Amino acid sequence: MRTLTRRRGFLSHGRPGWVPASAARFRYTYGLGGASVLLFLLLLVTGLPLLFQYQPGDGAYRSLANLTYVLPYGWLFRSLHFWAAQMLVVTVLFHLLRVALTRAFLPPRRFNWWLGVGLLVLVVGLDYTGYLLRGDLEAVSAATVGWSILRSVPVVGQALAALIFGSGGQGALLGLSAWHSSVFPLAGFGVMGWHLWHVRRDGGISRPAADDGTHIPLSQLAAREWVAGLAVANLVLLLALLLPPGLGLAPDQPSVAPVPAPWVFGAVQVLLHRLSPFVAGVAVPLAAVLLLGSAPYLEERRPWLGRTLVLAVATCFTALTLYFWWQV
Amino acid sequence: MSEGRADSLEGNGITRRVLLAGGLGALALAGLGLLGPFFRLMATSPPDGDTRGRLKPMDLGEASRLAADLPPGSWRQVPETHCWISRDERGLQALAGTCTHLGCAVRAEGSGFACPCHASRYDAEGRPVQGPARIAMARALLRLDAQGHVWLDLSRTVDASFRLPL
Repeated sequence: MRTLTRRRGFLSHGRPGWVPASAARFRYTYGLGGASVLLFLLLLVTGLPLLFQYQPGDGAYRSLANLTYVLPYGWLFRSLHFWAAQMLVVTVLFHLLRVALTRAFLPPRRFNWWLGVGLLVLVVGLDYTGYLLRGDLEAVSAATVGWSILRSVPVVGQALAALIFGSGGQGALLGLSAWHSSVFPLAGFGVMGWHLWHVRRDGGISRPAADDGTHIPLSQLAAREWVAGLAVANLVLLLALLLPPGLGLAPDQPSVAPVPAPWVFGAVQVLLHRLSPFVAGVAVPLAAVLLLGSAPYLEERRPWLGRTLVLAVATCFTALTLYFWWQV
Repeated sequence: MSEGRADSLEGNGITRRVLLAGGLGALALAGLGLLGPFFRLMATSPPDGDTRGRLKPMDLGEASRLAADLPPGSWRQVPETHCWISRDERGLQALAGTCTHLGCAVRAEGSGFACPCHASRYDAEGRPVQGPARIAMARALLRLDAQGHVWLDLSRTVDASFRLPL
């Protein structure tokens, strides 16, 4: 027992001494929460060198072009940052699905589910603001669309748009850079810490119904996490080396082709073709977030309703995103 | 140490509880009072911001030269703007090439204009013909100064019948 509960250093004090073997199986969690934490930390580390070279405002496009094509290894850090961000969106979405499908959002873990939904919103916010910081034609279009959507909100729309984008124009990149590189990451770091602490407070991660009562020590869990972490980090590195992101046209050039949204927002772009800006850009996404938030309650009423609802939201999002890709 | 110290400061009836509550209240008031200035600072750009610069009236050059360069009936983009100008028998007009759906800059396509963001299409007069846009694109004001130069004023819109006679 002594070896099972032995603590090693500060980091392991946030971890359990042992975990149920059934919950630690890879095919129960797919390591998605852990992968998301690793990717978030990778994003903090790779974002830092970019912050030293990036120039928000009128010089944004030029500074990013320098970073991508001139400065030594600038493309590499940008590419790593880009691919870690794409993967983070994927891992948090699948993590959300895994938690819902294993019914891990029921009390006592209901509050932590809400923290998770909040983190999803933050990740989407980081993805959007990060895309806008490119300052190329696509980014300016995406900023214009987002600004117009926010202004379509009744009563508070003007104030919301001014809060996020400042007074508009190229100067908006100053504010967006502040949101992207300090406000959202700080909030994300804080809520992520809260989320992780809550996992332990709520009695560790959920375990499957078929639990045989055996445990594995932290050392064994940590070994598995090392392997999974190495796999994730190597995948980011591989994608970053093989497929570095480019840069679009300068913002003052006329567009020559349709401007697709970044893929995370492809679903909204499809809806914007058909529905009013407020419905497509605000009401539907807000309804999706509220549905996700209410899933644990519904699952308590009917033992399948919450899961089904989360699956339905995910299916709609996937279908719209695939349709968006097919169109582009 | 003494009981009096625990209950009040200097014996003037102010208890620790009142002092702390008062301090907290004052902080909360100051915080609330700062919300307005905070918001105004967030939403204001420096006086020489690019936004205002872009809306300054632009000199398009001499009217006679402009007329000679522009074949009647076709649109031509004004460099460094999303604005198109054209000439017909009644005079010169300027179209603000901003999509009326969500504000993206349109491009010339075929005989009209197309928005790259959500595929709205406009005819040659800037009227919507397809896609989510429902409103015609705005016309910008054109002015002739005393030296015979045409000025484009993107901050002022006019209706579709407006022409600057040449």
